Amino acid sequence: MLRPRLRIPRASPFAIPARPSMARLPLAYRSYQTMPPLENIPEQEGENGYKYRSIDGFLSPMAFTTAWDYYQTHILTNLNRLCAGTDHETKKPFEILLETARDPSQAAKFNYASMAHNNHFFFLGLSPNRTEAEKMPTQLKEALIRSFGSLGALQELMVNTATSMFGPGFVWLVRTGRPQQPGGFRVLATYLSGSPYPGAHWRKQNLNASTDIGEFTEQGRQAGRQYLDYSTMGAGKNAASYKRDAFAPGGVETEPVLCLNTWEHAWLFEYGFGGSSTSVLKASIPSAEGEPENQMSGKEVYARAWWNYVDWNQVESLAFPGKSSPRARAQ
Amino acid sequence: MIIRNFGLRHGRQALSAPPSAPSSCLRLLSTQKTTTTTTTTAVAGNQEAMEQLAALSATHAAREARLAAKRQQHEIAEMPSKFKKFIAYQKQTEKLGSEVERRYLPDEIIRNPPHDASLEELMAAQCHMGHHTSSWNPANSRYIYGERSDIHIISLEVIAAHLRRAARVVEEVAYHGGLILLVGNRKGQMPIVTRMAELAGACHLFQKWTPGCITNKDVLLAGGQLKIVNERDEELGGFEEHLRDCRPVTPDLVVCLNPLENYTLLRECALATVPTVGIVDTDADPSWVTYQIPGNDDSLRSVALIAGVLGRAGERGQQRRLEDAKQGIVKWQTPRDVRGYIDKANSLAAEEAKAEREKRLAEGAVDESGLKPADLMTEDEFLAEMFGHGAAPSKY
Repeated sequence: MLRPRLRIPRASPFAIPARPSMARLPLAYRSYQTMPPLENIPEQEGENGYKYRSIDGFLSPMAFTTAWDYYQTHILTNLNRLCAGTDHETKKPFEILLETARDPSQAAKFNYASMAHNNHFFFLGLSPNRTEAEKMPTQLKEALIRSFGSLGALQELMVNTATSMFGPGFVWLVRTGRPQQPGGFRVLATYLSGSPYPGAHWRKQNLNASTDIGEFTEQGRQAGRQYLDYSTMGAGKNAASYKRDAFAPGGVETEPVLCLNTWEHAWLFEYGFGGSSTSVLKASIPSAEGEPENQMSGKEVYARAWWNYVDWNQVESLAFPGKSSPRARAQ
Repeated sequence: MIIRNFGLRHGRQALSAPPSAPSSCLRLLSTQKTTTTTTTTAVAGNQEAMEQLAALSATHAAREARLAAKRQQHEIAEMPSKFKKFIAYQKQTEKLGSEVERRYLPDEIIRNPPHDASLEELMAAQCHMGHHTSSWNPANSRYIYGERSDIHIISLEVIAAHLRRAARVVEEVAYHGGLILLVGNRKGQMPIVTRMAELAGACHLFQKWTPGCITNKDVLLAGGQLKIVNERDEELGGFEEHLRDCRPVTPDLVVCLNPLENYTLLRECALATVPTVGIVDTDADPSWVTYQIPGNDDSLRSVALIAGVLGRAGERGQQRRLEDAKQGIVKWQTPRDVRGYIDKANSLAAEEAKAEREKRLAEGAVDESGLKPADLMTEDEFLAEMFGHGAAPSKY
């Protein structure tokens, strides 16, 4: 008989004092998703002492409050409702969306988790003051020019993608494995709650099911086949028959670095649906060449305005991580 | 097989073999399908072209293999830096979306146990849940509140009262410098036992109790390391001889988290008159321990809570003891064997010193054992003492 071996207890940081907040909170939920802080855009105080956020020239207080405070709260409330009592209640939205991307029975959870993440991503990339794209950090600028030809071309690409999308979603600027080479950056559109992350490619939702998937082109046919594959896989098709995602360990396929929110609640307040010349921010928006401004849809005007309020330092810290943070550098 | 055509066919094909055999071979190696098959049939029959084709394909394959190997090596070499960048990127994006507040951490009850358990905390930790009514020990009837769903429910007030009594015992034993042993050898109790012993300054056991460690300690604990400490818990030197010869120690208090599985230990404690504290479930025998804590010994959360309260009590006792020791208040006595050793060592030392002094006196050395009063006085004072105080002025 073997003598019992001594099991050494794991060293754990036992001397951590209890968090004071734990005593105060009601114990109805074991874990709770709450509103994240938005530090890049400071709060302002109004006449009645109300605190609000806004970006002058881009988003009014009402639009900002609706698109961020109300919408994010709505999303997180629903996420809490769906995750209560499951393992997901302790997880971050990013983890939840990766885990539920393949499963159609958890599609609602994916939707809310992905929207929470994407919405926060959009607001994190905004600057409270007007920024110049030409003045962005040089490494990022050179890489973008190498990928798109010029910064103006990138702007046009993103704006046109947003305009041509019928229905809400996000337009992403993603970085691939080799950012310094041509093709190092790409623009990607995701409809509704689609996610650009490679781990959630099941729910990329980059195609409009009505127009892009069809029998007319080879690409359309392939997209249709892929769509059916994904749904059958999620519905329980034998996983062994599916080839594993071939990502090398540590391999970087696509990493989103910037996004534009094209959901109506973000742009409808200021910009309307378009077609009228009474845009609120008429003076500050450069119109497209040869096109009178009132020909542009509200979404297009909004997308053009957005370009002037992008926090390029934040984009650079995501595109070329491992350097000092933009806030530290700013200080 | 038809001989008349053999040479002819061979010859014709030899003549018709295109001079640029390599290029046609290249076409064969390409991935695109050729619609014409004439080239293939022409070359296939030609032995020389076949060999060239084979050689070329070999070199191509070799070159492709070399390039692929180089590409793979390059990729592998890039991996660490790429992974680092990926991790740096993930750190910025993985938290986006919400702030997750964790309100209940199961480990918190072990990491930071309460000093006293309220009735609500005891109930939340499932301390009130006993076993099936058929497997009860009637001796526990005084602790039981009632039954529900065929299990006995232990009264929460009884648990709280007994727990507080046991906590006072643990605290005072620790205050008086006693050695406490905390035992819990069920599955999953190791972190509980080690953490509580760490808090209380006690010894812990999370594996099987070797029978005889108290009643047969001279054999089983012979090689154990001991140390002598003073009232401030500072280790003292000069006791090496004693530590070599002394008997192994027994605990002054044993706290057992699962008495049902430790009958031998508790019996030895009883034989050696060591008081014991134990968590007594509805199917356990309360007479096995001195201070019963009725409660659920099957749930880890319940055991963690009870042991945590006892651990905190021990911590308080240790703190009080050390604080009083700094003031010079010491409520415990030196153990008898240590006392005996100290006395013996002192008396031996005194005898040796005396023998040494006599030896030197015998050799003719001056007895400088002590100063006489005459040495401390000046000459005037000495004379005054001899002939009366009028000789010199009084100091006082």
